[in-house]
Amino acid sequence: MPLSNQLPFDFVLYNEFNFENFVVAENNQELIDLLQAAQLAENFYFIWGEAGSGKSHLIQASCAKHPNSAYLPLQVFVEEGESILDGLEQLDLICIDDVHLVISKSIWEEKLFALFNACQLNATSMLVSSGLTPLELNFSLPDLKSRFSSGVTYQLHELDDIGKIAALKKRAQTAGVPLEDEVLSYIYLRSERSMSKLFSVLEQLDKLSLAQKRRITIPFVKTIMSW
Amino acid sequence: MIVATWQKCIYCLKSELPAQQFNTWIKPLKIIAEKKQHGTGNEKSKEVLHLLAPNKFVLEWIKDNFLDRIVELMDELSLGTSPGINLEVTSNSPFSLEEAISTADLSNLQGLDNPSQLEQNESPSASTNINDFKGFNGLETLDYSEPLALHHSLNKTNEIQRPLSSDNTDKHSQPSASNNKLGGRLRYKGELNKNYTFNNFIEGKSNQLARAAAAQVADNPGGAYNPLFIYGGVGLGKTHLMHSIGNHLLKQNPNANVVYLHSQTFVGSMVSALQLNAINEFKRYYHSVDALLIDDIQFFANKERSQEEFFHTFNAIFEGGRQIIMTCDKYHSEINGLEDRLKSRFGWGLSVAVEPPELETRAAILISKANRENVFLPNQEAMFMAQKLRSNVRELEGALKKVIAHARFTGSEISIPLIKEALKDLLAIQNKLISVDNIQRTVAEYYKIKMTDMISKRRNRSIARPRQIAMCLSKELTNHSLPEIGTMYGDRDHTTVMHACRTINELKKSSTDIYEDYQNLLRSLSS
Repeated sequence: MPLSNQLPFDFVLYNEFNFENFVVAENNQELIDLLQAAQLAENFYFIWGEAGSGKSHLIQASCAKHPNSAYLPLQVFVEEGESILDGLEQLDLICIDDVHLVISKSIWEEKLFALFNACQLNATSMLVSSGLTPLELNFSLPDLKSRFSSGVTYQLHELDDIGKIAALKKRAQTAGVPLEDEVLSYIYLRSERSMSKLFSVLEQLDKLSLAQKRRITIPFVKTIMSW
Repeated sequence: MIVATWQKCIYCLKSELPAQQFNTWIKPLKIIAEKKQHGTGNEKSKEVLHLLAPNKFVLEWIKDNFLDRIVELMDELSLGTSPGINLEVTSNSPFSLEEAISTADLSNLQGLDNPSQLEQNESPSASTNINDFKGFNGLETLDYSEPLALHHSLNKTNEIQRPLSSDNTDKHSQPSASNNKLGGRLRYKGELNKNYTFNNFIEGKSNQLARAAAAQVADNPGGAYNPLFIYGGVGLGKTHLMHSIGNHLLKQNPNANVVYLHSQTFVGSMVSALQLNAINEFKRYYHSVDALLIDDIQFFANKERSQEEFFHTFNAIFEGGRQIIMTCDKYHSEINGLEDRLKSRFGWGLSVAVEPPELETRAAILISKANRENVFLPNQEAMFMAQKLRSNVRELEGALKKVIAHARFTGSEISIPLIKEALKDLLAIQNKLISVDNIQRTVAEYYKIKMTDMISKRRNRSIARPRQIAMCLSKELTNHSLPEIGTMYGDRDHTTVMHACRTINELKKSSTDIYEDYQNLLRSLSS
């Protein structure tokens, strides 16, 4: 099996993805309530949104909440092969991240189609995230498109400024990175404001502050980030 | 004992590994604990933990990356008793341990501590819902949210003493000498969905012929309409009709061997049967069914060996005067990559099309589905949704679920403003995708005329008619005003658009060709 030993998993620094440390934008509350229910009401949820809107965090939080589940970041598996999907219908919940990466690849689509059907048969729930809606994705298999359209589709909206600062603060706290509010504001006002960029800045600062044994202060941030 | 040790082991792994890796690789593992007797008499027994990965991919990854650490931790945590650890694949569909017991009487499962006994009761034709076996006491699911607390069912079960072969080979991937036992393990069929009946199939112009044919077949299987070939686009109710026939047949004769399966399952079963040298058993099983319901036959395309097997299966069932029902996304002669002898056989009986449902049927489907959820969907609101969503029933179903979820979240009754709010993202994208430009391109392509002809002044019929259809579709599918639409068609007046719409609406009634062209374009644009 052509399996590389270095599958990339991002944000190793941050090791907890749960609902408690997920900052909820007001217009995402309905979706969060559905996913936080003790038992998922539907068999298939399709969650779409911009990069950095929190899709991966959210579906990992769902995975963490349910025993007998698995999290599949397709960014990791897209090159490794679709056989990762075999037999997963035995689980109670399958969380598939970034499904858009494999749509239009017919082998993947056929596997997903078979998995969808097997999940319906086994009453296994599927939670799928994507950068685009099923309407916009360029499916090669119309059967899969129609099945993906039959579930509950929600957009995960991006956080506003206040929400983003709160999310950054929460992540720093959860990861044990000491970060004062004024430093946080400084970073937010100067960095690119997508959540993925903000998190990567945080990770970079954390690593270097540990390496250089320095606190994360405004002068430190200024030097490291060349702002 | 070993189960508790494993619980501690996963707790350690959870703290050692990044959450993503834990959720991807460790969490889907299931376990079976086994106590192996060494020799006879009072000799000490050894505990073996079978770690079951859902597929070979996960198994390989665990073996290469985590197995050493798992063994190390289990050794430490079991205080030197060193349990044996076997890594296996639970199931490489269509085989599974669950399938191996899926034919047994459920009532016997409680307290049963030797699942392998169940194999003796297997019979390929018996049918039990695999879902009922989740939590079966041999396959444990651990609750990772409470790492040190034993899962409820574990307390009841403790270790399963299950005699397994002493070697570590994956028995599911090896040809077995005892093929007579394999019957129960082949996933011969899917389940008939009991919710799909004729009673809740909403009939309209688009599907009434198919429904009537299905009802005939259900009342008189193996008769004149054999095989019944139901074809049409995705999400239009073909599978619903097929299950309705199956459920009706079983109601008439509960002992009938009615087999429903997806064509991919047929292919998968056949491949596994070949791997296990059990092809004769596979044949025997399928050749003996009373009715074979096989879904999405188009997936046989370009799979020659499967086509060959299905050809023989078809002949055996047909010659035995038993019923075959198939669904497909297109008419049999149009399936590329399918042998001619199959195409011709598929046309021996009756072929019926299912068309996209018209507005009123879509609304009726929505009301019926809402009723099933105990939700009241008023007529006007159903019509509003049906007008907005035209492509297929599955899309309607998805939209309705969203509307119901939103109504529950807000604690409001379903109204048009609530529907608009619940579906605003979907409708916004739909509007974005269905632009006048997109309509012009699609229609030009359909009639093989140039895009520039859409906005040209030419008035010969081969160009004017497609242009009128495009104008009519632009009015129907977008919210642009008539003057705006006119402007986008070569600066024409809004009265020209009105005239085009009137002409096409009349032609749709008098000309089947125009009606079909219009419906095809409407469907292609809104799906």
